[in-house]
Amino acid sequence: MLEMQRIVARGVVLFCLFWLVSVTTVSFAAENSALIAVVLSDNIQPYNDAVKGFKNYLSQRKTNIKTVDYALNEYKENELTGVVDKILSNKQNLIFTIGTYATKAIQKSARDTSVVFAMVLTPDKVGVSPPGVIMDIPSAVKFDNLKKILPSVRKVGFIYSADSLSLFEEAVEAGNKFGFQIIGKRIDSGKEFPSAFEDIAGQIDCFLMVADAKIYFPKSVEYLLRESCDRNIPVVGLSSNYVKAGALVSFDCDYEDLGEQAAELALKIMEDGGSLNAQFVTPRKVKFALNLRVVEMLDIKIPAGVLKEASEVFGK
Amino acid sequence: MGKLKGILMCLVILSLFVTGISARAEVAQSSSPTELMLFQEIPMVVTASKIEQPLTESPSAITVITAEDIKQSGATSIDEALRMVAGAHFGYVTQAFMAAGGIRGFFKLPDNKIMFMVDGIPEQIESYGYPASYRASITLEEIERIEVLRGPGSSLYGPNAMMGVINVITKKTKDTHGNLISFTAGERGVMMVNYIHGGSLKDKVDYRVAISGEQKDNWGYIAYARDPTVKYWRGNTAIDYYIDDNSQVNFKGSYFSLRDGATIFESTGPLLYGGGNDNKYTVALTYTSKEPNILLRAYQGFMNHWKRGYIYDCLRLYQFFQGTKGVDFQHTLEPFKKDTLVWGGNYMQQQYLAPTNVGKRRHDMNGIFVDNTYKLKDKFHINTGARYDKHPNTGNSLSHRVSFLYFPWQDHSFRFAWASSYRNPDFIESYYTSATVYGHEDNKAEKAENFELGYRGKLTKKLSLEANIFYTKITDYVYFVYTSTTIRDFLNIDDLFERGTEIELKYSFADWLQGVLNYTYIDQWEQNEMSQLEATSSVLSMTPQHMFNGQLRGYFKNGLSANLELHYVGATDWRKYDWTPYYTTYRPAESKTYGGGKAARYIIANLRLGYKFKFLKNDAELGLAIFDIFDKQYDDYPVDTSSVGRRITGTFTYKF
Repeated sequence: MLEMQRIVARGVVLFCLFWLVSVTTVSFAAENSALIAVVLSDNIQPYNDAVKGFKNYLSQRKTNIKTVDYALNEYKENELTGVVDKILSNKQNLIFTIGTYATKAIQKSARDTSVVFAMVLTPDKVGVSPPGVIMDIPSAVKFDNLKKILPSVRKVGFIYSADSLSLFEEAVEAGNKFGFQIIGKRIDSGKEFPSAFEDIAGQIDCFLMVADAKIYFPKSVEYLLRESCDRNIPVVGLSSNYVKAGALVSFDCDYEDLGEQAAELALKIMEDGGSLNAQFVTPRKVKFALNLRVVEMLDIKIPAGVLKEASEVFGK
Repeated sequence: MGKLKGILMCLVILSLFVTGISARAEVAQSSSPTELMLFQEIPMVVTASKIEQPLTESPSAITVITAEDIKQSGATSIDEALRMVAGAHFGYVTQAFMAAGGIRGFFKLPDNKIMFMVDGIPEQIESYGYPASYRASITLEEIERIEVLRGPGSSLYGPNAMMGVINVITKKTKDTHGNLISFTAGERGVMMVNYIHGGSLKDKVDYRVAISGEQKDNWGYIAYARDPTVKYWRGNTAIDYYIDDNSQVNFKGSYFSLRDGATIFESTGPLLYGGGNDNKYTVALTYTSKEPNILLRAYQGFMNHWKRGYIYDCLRLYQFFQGTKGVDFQHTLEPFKKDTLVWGGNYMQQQYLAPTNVGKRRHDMNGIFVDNTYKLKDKFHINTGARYDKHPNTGNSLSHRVSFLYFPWQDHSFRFAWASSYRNPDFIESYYTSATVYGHEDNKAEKAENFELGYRGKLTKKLSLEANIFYTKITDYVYFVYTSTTIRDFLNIDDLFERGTEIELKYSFADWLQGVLNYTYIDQWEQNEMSQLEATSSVLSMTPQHMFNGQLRGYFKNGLSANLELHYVGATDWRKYDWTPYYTTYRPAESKTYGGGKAARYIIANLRLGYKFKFLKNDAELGLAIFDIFDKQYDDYPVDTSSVGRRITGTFTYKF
């Protein structure tokens, strides 16, 4: 009888141990099998590059995270609310949004789910909240690079509107640190651009464009690039597309690396158990594009070594 | 039943646009995200000044057809892709052969007053001097854009650029990495398969290889054709080698093969009746450098035609060869501020061997040119150019261009141009000998003098306008004249004149919906209206007085797109020929062949629907193109066997 009791007791203990281990294992596995919804504003290459970087980072870290993709351009405007509700109802651990459109749509409705974004420019102006990786390259970074590419430049022209006033102020502060004098002109609409440029063209060695849709649209950009070539004023464009069209240089983010930065941020938030990082993260990798044809037309001497560092060279 | 189909078609189209409007209305109202500013493209163009410059600064009237325009048009050939160009018309003779027309008047069959180039390399059919657009060795998917210069271009490009220039510019090899496959099939025997592969080697070399096979019915085919289906094979390669940051070398090689082609020329009749065959080879080597800014190119092309058919009731192997080789040189510099100078020269040799009617002929030609653009003030540009050419028969020729461009306000430009151009008589016009048709070696070059006023501007944020008025005089026009009841001689005839206008409006209804309307008016007359020369009145009646094109294009969500076009072409009258008497004994059952006659005015509608999607994570697109939706039977160049009608084709494109 006693022997039987011992056997039963051992069996119960073993069973309890087995149960405890299996439950722990299952819950551990479940905890590590996370889901991230990837929501794109549109199906365009820059956004796709950011997604690629995001997923590559997760894959390299060997995380047990699954992703499911949504592209908002596939839905009509009146379907947007329904799509967002559907995404939020999937109970993913985190939502990664790419571009302003997707970020605003998700942030508006997401209450209990962490949201991390990437590929948003001037988030304050467009009503996007942190956390996320922005595309704004700090003026200090631009001027630091500009000093190496155009060492003789001292006076930088800057046309802005009320929408980009803060960017102008940032540029003035950064310019002072790097020895640049910022010659600014404020306008209220793009129609005033030609006269504003005319006013400052005689005083500047270089012109810095700013991401302000009120001022810069295809016609004003065409005017700027044409006039600057005529007046021998190099232009720092908004992206490599502007360099291809006639700006001398541009400073661009590496979109894939932005995605990787966003993945780092996302993992940090998920590991912290959902606590939010209330800051915008700036791009850590900045590359620049050059137009050699413009270099030649403006008769500029680019320091040796700079050409090799350029990520894109146009006008070959 | 046909009308019911037409009504149903209209309802489908309307519902598509209405759905698109409601789907996109709210999207249009919301502001664009700021980051999109970084991704937008600003267009530049290589113009008749041989330097890249914005469209608004071109010293000539120029239209650019982009790769997207070509795709959205549902075109199956380069000629079909040019349908929307104001002032230009390349009409069907057969489905595969669209050489009845030209640019800015004096239309002919073949259209021998235009220079046709692919990446700056001339591709003409040497015998008749007309564009080899349907024999181009490139696929439509390789084209980045087509620049159509309307008006004289000889001051830069030399002979043949008399009434216009078509320059097909292919995509850069570095922009076509990866693979693309496309498949098109449909009515009228249309079947096309293309494969393009591109890549790079160690950052020093970019390359592209393309192969394609194609077939089409000889729609409106010439009688006696054994098989009305023409077949093409194309293969080409482009290799860019970057020597260093300053210079590079480009190699292009291509092969083109045609089987059972059927063409008809107004002067010499159905050519290769019974189906002809071509093999064409082209190679080109180009060196470019930035400092100094020079271009040096050598090229050679060779084509072999043959067929077995009936000539004067005898079954013969009919064969002829033609080829061109040449060397081009160009240097661009800025001698002083606000001035750009382009100068250069070329040597070209054209050969033609046709034992039965032309013999063995060779033309060695040289030319030098200079073109200067000076920006006098920010609002005022002056462009001047001149070119000297030497031809073994016509001797020395000089052509010029002077253009004034005025930019009174932002987004507006006015242009005045005065230019001269010329065309040397081709091999047929110079040497052809048969029982009834004779060329003459002493024919003079045709010369054109052109005056033009143009305006290009943005009237509102959404509406842009281009308008041109032009006046052209042609002296020593070459045409074939009946010197007896049966004998035709190629001779210089009367001086001819024309005046005309082109107006084009573009309107952006929304960022996803654009419309284009253009209208062309051409009035032609002869110097001596009392001469009653039959040839002259024939020439004047081959150009329609009115042409109109309209287009509505929309891009919708879910990857859908739609492109609707309307084309109106006024009536024309072509010399009528009965080729039957030449084939009395050994002709097949369909024994009568007429070419020419009255072509009534017509209006047709074309529709292309597209759907982009992801397939296995790669870009794919389905397209449905309906040419001549309402199946309007019409003729561009009347051929008695059949007329042009509806054609439906489907396309699948996949990039990976």
